[in-house]
Amino acid sequence: MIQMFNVFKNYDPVSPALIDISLHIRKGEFVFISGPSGAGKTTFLKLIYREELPTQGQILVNRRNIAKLPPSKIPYLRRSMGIVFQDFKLLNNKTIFDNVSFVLKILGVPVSVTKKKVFNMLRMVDIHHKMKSLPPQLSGGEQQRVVIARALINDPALLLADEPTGNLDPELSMEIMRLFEEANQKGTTVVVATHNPALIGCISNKRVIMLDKGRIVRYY
Amino acid sequence: MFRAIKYFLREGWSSLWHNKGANFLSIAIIIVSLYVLGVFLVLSTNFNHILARWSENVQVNIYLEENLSEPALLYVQERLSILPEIEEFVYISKQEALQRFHTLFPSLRTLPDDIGGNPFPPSYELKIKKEYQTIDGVKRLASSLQRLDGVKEVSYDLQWIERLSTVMKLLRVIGIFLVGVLVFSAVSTTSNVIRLLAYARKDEIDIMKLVGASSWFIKGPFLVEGMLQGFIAGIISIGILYLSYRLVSYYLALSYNLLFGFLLFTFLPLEYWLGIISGGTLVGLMGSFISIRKFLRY
Ligand SMILES: Nc1ncnc2c1ncn2[C@@H]1O[C@H](COP(=O)(O)OP(=O)(O)O)[C@@H](O)[C@H]1O
Ligand SMILES: [Mg+2]
Repeated sequence: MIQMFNVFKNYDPVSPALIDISLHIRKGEFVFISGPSGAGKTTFLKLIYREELPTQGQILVNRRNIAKLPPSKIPYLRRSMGIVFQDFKLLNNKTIFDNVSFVLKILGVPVSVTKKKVFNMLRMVDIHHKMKSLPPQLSGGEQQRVVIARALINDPALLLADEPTGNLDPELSMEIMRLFEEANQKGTTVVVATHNPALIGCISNKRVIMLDKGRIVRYY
Repeated sequence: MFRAIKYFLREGWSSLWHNKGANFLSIAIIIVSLYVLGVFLVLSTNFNHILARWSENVQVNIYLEENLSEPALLYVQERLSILPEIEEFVYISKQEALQRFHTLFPSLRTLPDDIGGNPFPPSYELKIKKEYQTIDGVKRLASSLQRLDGVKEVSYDLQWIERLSTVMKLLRVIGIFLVGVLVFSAVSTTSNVIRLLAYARKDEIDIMKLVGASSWFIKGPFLVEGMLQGFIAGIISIGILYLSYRLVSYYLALSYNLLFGFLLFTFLPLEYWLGIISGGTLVGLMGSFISIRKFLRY
């Protein structure tokens, strides 16, 4: 699903964010990207959904070289993914419901189907009672759950989650990880970036890639 | 597809409503340019009417040499009956011409005698067929008549029509120029307004891109917003145009000024209304299209 060949990423010349990353994440895997803050986890994910391009090296997503992807194809790449952004990226002037249903609107899903699906999804992350609120009216943890709902709503082939439980209490974190695991069992490839080792423990069938200062330091 | 258009309409309309202030600016400038366009259209429509009406009354007279022989006269007559432009012709003899003069100007009764006899040449009055009642047509006919043997002079009263059509040509040039300038400024105003709105929503646009919205999906509402600006402006400008037309024709009627009373006897036909409205919509669409392109580079 994801292959990287000697990937480097430099935001500036002196301190590279990723150094010589080569790896292969297979379809159906559940992978953790771990490591301390600043290790390059977010950058790693951004390369996959092509918000950033590698400075050097090749990245294949679904066997396609995404550096060579024409701009008009980028939306299709992203539609096949669900992304939990570290900084949420919710539309602040749209309701919670509209934020989540937006993804389905892009896909052209009929309104009647959308309504039901979004409501069920919001219930799964326990935020359906705030459906009509705007994101700024929600707490960090609540917003995070909305982002997770948005990422899962289109049954993505690939789920990229950046610190998805950073604002959640341990109990809810477990609940969310269970949701991810469920999606994984239904065929979604899951990549979770986290600096929280406790989170990794709650998934049994997983792989962990540990980053530090932009390098892969452990791989198991 | 349908769903997307519905979404664009809803979003575009709500943004238009939400940003009344900025949108008002571009609506106003589109109104001004469409209004000016409309004024020129009204004027030229009416001028065209007048031209058509006046051309119907064009009369061509040919004056013959004095003392034409019978065969020469017959020759002229024969030519006149062959020419396709001529609907009918009437012969006015020297005598008849003099008689007309007497009835028209009874007080000058003695004038012909004073200057030594009947000064009026024999002539033909021609009526021109409708399809040849154009300036060029009449001129061409006149010059071919001029070449006939036995014809001394050809006269036709085209001056007014010629003047009017010169005015119209001038008007058209000024109109095209003015409307061009105004349309340009309307497009650029709309594009700036939409750019401003898009800039204010840059974060939102970026998020939409990140969750997989295609550039058309993001553009849609902005394009609709621009089109709505133009559409609304088109309707308003026709409204204002009609009001000012009524007002002006009311005052012209009051002033009993025949020439100008003539000038405004019809408003624009429906096709022009639709043209103005779709022109406005196009202006708005172009403005927003130009500005939104930049925001959507991936
Ligand atoms: N947009 C950016 N511009 C410049 N430097 C950046 C940018 N994003 C991240 N970095 C730098 O790259 C390194 C890795 O950052 P990041 O990928 O966010 O790490 P993590 O997600 O593991 O905390 C950090 O040193 C960070 O300062
Ligand atoms: Mg990070």
